[in-house]
Amino acid sequence: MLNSIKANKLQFESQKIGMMYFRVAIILFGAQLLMGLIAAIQFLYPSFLFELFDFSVARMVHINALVVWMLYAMIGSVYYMIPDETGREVIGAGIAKLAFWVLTAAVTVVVLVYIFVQVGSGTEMTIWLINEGREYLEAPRWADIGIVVVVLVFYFNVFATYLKGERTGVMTVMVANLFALAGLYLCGMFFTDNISIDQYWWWWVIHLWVEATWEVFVGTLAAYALIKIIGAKREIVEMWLWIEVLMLFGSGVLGLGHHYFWIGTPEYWWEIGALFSALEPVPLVAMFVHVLYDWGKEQGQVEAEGGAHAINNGPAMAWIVTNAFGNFLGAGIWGFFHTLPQVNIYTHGTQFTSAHGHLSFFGAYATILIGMMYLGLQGAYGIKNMRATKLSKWAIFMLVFGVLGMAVSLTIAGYEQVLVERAELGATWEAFFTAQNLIWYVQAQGWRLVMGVVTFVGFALLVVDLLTIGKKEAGE
Amino acid sequence: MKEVYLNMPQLAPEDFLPIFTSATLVMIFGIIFVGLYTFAKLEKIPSFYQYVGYLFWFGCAYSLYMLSTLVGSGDFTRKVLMVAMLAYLILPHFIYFLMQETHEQHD
Amino acid sequence: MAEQPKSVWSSISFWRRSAAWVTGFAVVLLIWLTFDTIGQITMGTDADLQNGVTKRVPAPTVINYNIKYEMNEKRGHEAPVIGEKESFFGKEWSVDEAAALLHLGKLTSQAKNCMNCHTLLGNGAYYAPDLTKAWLDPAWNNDGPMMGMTGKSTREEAMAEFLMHPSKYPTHARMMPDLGITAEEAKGLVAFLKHMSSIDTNGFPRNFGKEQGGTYAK
Repeated sequence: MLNSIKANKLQFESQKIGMMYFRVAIILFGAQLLMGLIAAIQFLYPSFLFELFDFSVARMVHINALVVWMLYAMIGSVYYMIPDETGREVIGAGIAKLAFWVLTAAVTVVVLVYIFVQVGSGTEMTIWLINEGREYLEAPRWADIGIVVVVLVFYFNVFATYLKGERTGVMTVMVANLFALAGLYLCGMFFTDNISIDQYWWWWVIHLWVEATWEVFVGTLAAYALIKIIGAKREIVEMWLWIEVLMLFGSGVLGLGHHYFWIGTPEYWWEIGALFSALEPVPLVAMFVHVLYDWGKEQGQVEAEGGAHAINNGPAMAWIVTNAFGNFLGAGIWGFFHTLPQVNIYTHGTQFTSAHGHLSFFGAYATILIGMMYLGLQGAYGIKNMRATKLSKWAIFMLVFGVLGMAVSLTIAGYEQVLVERAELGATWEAFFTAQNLIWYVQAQGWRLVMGVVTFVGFALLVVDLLTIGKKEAGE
Repeated sequence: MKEVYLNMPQLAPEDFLPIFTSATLVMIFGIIFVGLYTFAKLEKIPSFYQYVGYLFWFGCAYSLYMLSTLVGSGDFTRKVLMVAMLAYLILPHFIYFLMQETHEQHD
Repeated sequence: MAEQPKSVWSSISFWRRSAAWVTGFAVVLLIWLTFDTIGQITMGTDADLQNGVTKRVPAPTVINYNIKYEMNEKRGHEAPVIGEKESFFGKEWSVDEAAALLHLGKLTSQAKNCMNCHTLLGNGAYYAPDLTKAWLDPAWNNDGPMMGMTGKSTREEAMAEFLMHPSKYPTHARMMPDLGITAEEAKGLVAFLKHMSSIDTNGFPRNFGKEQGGTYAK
């Protein structure tokens, strides 16, 4: 991937910018995993780095790196697909590059402040300069504003190119969805003394990102990738994309209700949240079937014509199939079993949530974004038919196995927590610690750490593969 | 503050395992049903698997019924859920029908 | 592309329109519900408290009142009950003072990044106990362990002392780090916690502080 800076067969500036974003994304992915390991160790050995680099800091960088690497990879994917979809170079490539460097510099400063300054005094100054202390949206206010400016530049690039170029269905969904995605960020940028109102709008950003607009984004990427990798017919893929938008927004927007069960909001959210979040797995099932169906059809057609493979990018397709499955597993199964209010009153805020978070962020987002990186490499080295190397296979296996293992361990921990802390001991300070110290919980956390290490090894293999696969296959 | 219509019963600790299991089975049976149906229709596997798929749909509906009983939802909710399961029975047929239509149209 | 679709089911424009309508409908419904909800969760006023009007999120002056969390038979779950007046840090706080204290507390809770170890209203990290009803935690009762350990005579003073020097008063191997919380900030945080315990969370956490037997806890 590093070499792709020099040996670049990409003809469009837009795609080169996409690769720039991918490179930073993979570095931040590594940072996310390192921080996760530190936090996992602290669960078992609480004195590890105590009052030096506390859990709160590791956890903050862990989840921020997650969000930011995914946004980087998403922005990169959009720059990468622009020329393919609109048939032209992006408008304003120069300012796009500038925005990339500004954003990257800002992210670096924010992370350094997180790590070295950590916390501030209880004044507005802290919110402006150090961190906002709201899970996922910790970025200080100055960075918020910076992000908005960079995103405006990005949106200008996308929108102007869309207007001038060809307007495909895939690109139309992308442009409309990005508008919602970017606009939602504004809901998380103000301060209020009322914690209920605070969390009400906070969920607008978090939920309407990860369970609505990001999901549609993934659907759009999958549509683009299916056309590109297996030569699926555009008309069919685009029609499906609209059906997915219908189902995802139809269930996901009001599915927001499942976060409003316990934050002070009225009881009617119970019914709304339960109904719409029970519907949320349906589009994931449909997406899964769709990917298999199209793959089966195209493969059948290629075989009928005497060819061997419909797929021209093995690793990317493997990650996209993993995505279709992981989305259903992480978001569907792990989401559904604690989404009903009768159950959620016990599971809310336990390791169940953490298990669901790990598996669904990985299954629904990390997978397809890694797939996009392979797609980018294929373009950068001009490889006609990219095959998975031994390393790509090991990387995908270790990553999937590791994350799945973490999710299962955390589920066991969560189950124990529900029984002991919530159902029996009354959810107090003492109840919490009693549950944390029971052998089931401690062992589950131990396995989580082991699986975290497996995940990290998988990541290391992935990086080596990304760095070498292009050169290797271009030489053949 | 209005009265509440959704039941929120106290759950017994020993009910949690069956609750989580049945919720998981709803999803797993659900996807196996859809998967078998689709593959059978695509002729990737013998066509009798379509009927095996229906068995899984039945398992799915039963698990959901069990789940709704375990969490103590009311009669009305239970009926709504069973209607939803009927809709789910139709879903893969509908998806397949859509696929057929579009492929006929565009191939 | 130009050919007419044979049926509506394979027509892209049909699905595009349907997607737009469904999304639009969901969004309009969400906005409408948002207006209703924001109305219901806006903080009440001091007058509401004096007149016994129940608000989902009471005014900051709720810190001048005794708060309990009791089973509400009609609603089928627990809800906060605001009782008689009681002093908070040895005095009654005026409307402005209480608002300023709560402001300081909420700000400090963000500045010190509480949410990345604890959960607030069940949201946050899962490394430390949930703080939704922390004010009511029996550990801070007169006969509870924290009062003795910190050597203070009231709940609020004990909590503030703990917050200022948490690693001096360890309850378990997993400790809260010293975050440099000043005396004023600690008062603010306690006010924030007391206010949060008065929020009507539809019965979350369930059975707070009431043990239901402990077969699984061994």
